[in-house]
Amino acid sequence: MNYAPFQKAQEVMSTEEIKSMLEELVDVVEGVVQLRYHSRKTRQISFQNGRIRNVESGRIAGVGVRVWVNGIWGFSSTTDISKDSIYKTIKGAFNSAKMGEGLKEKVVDRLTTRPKKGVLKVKETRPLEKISLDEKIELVRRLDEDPRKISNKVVSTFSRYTEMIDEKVIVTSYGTSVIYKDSKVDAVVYVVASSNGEMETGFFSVGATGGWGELFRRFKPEDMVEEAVKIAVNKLGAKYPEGGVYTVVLHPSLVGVLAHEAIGHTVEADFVLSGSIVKGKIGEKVASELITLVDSPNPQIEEGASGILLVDDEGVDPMEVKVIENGILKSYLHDSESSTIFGVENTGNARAFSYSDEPIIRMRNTYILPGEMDPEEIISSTKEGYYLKGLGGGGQADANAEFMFGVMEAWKIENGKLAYPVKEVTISGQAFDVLSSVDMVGNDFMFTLGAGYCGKHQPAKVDAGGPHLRCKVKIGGRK
Amino acid sequence: MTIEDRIMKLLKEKNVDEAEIFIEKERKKRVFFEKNELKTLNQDEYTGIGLRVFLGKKQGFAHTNDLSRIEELVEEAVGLARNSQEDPYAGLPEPEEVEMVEDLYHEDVEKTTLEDTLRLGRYLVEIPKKIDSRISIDSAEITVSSSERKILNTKGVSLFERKSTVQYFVMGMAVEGEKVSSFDYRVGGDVKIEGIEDKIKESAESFAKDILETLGARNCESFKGSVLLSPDAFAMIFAMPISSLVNAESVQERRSPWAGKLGEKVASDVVTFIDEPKKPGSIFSISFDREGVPTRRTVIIENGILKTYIYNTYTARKENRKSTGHASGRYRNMPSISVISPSFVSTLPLKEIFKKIDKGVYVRRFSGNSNPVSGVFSGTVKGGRFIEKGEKTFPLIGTMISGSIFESLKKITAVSEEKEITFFGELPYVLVEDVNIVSK
Repeated sequence: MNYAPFQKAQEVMSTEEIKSMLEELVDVVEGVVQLRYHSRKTRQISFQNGRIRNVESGRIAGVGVRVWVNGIWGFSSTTDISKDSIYKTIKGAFNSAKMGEGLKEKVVDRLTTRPKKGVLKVKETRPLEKISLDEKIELVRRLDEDPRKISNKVVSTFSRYTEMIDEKVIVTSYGTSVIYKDSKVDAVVYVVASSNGEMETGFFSVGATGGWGELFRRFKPEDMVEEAVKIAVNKLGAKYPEGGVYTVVLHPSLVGVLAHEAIGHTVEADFVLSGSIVKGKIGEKVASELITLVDSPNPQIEEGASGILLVDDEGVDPMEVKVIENGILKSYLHDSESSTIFGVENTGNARAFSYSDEPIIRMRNTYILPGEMDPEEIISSTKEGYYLKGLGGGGQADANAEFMFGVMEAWKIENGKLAYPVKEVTISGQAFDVLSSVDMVGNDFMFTLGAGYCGKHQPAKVDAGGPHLRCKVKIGGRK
Repeated sequence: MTIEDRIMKLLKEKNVDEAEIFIEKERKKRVFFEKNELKTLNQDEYTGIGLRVFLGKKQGFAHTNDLSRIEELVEEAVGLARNSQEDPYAGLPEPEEVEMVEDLYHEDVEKTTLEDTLRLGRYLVEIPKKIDSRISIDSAEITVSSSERKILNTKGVSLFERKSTVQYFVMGMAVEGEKVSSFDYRVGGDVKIEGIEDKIKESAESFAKDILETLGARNCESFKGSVLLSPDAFAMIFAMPISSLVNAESVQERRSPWAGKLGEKVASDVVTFIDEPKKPGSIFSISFDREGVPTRRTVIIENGILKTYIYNTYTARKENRKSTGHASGRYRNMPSISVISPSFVSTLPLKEIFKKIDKGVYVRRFSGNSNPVSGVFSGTVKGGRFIEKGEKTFPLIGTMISGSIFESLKKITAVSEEKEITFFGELPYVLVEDVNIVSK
């Protein structure tokens, strides 16, 4: 397989050698120094309507340098992985930081850290580098071709496979010294179904940290195809919902979106400091006591979540955070600076997408813990309402936790049964009000947001999920 | 030997039939503010190369930012092409005469130091804070950059363009006791430093005024009526979906309901949508596209009639026609298709538009979906205001708007003369009638 030099190439320097070099350089200036070597190999394949659309790969590498002097960060990066170049970059970042001296009113005098050491590697079952390009192309071809075999209403298909293989070396002046190997992978199927001049879309995706074992741990390629087709076809000729406030049963996919998008962003400490709705509310009841919401760097509840993070990009050992416990707000999400400001432990939520991005506070895997009810029982005990599944688009956070999500798949519930599908459902409300209205929590669990990226100045791989739960939300409809 | 010469030499040795080299360079200075305070001073530069190769009708694409390992880049792209599948339409454009856009590069931008950038950043952050202490800036940044794009292919395309930009962004909300307004933001920029302070001032003041006005928001009644969209909301609900509807790939792949609708009425008479990539001195302008095809002024919708789709070379070859110069993308991906600098012909000044509204809703931001396939848009009004008898009144919360893009395009009754820079181009305020407004 001489066609994959990006995958196979012997690096000019080993990660061990890079680590030694960074360790020699980390003390050349005064102040706190974070050095982060990051190499990323990517591969993407897509098909549409029976033809290959692209086969791409890439390799990006560099060292991001961050220096903290008197409360101001200087940041720079270099793609030249040599001692000389990194030295100059550190000096440059130091000088940049000095430039901001005296311009900040509230300066903290130290950073809160918990440096990690060692060699870290995520679990990879069927590693990406061991699977041939042919096999990957074949997977994407099937995801594109098979929808038409299921329904003749399918008029357009698209499929895409993306992988990122990362190697990082993080060395800091406060003692981090880590080599970290990580891999993220996702696959999507998108279909358009049509009949009587009406067009509807269906979409299904999976994503994971690890290899194909993790990627297809719950849904196999054939399940993905079936789901995407079902979603699109069911919407053809479906009714529109009537707008209003309803009792709804949310599938884990929407619980995950709610946990991440509507709640999670408001508890990011940078957002809290600028005045999000949860500012000053630690210890207060913000949700139903049935709700415990967690942001975890390496969840044990289900393996392979997309947001797995074994060391954060400030070189801090990340910890699991109970954001809400039995309805009480317990913690925000922190980096080295915000944890000092709040006088709490650093939760290790600082993340950077690439070597040239600065670490900022991001979620990892955000989810609501399961409760005790059988999901089917939740539906059967609902007299009237809707069963809502999958994010259909939208989903933006706001400082006041007001949210609005499009729903991919929706059913009217009548007398405890799924009566008929409805389409173009959107849900909205204030996330904490919605969580306060929760009266039933399922005993099931699923991560569901693995194929997406969260955007906040830069992308990040995250995951989110939860059990089924029942609550009240506002449904937007045509009528 | 230059990098491109070295790549070409290696490609010759591999017997590649056709190839395209795209090189992107950027040098930037960036100052970032968070929680009302300076956070980071950032200086950076990079060079990236995207290489597309063809072995007969099979193509492969690879990219890197590591200039020391060009051999691997070539090997990777060739290897991917070898393992790919044939596509009869795959290929590159022939060279064409390119008329270069004037006034896209200013040396004063290149010469701007990090200190200067910091001064501009502080100016941006301090204006809203001075206006009212209730304003909280979540984040703000200013980036000063100069970039170069170079494109070469084996058919003889060889083009180079330099561009300078100053871009800024401010986002935040107003906080008064327990009350938190919806957040809002402004983006802006120019190709030169001269005059940038005035632009920053205008954006920062308008940002401050808007978030203060949305404190203490409440619901209104539900009704069907006039909706005035800000440039940002117009981008989300209409401009972006329209750009997808006219994308030749969506049309050919049967994802666009506008397939087969050329010459038909798709919007009201007041809607004239033109792509204007050749405007001198505009941050959105470029002289040639991602494949080296000259960009051109393209009338996409004229007085409501759909005039053309937009093409890159691949989609054009499928229809045996020429690319419209809409290949887009950076060095990290193969060329895709997008509108470059969307522009809408205006019909009225904003204050005249307000006078037309007896009862309606002003939408500053739209948080929701606007689906170009099903045509459905639905979402929450952010930073909204209730309009009565031509005047903005109280701020709105808990209000949703929904409808069909296709039907609502035919109910656009005014397009403002005033335009604002958004993430999707410089766009107007737009008035739409008969929109469902649900508020409770």
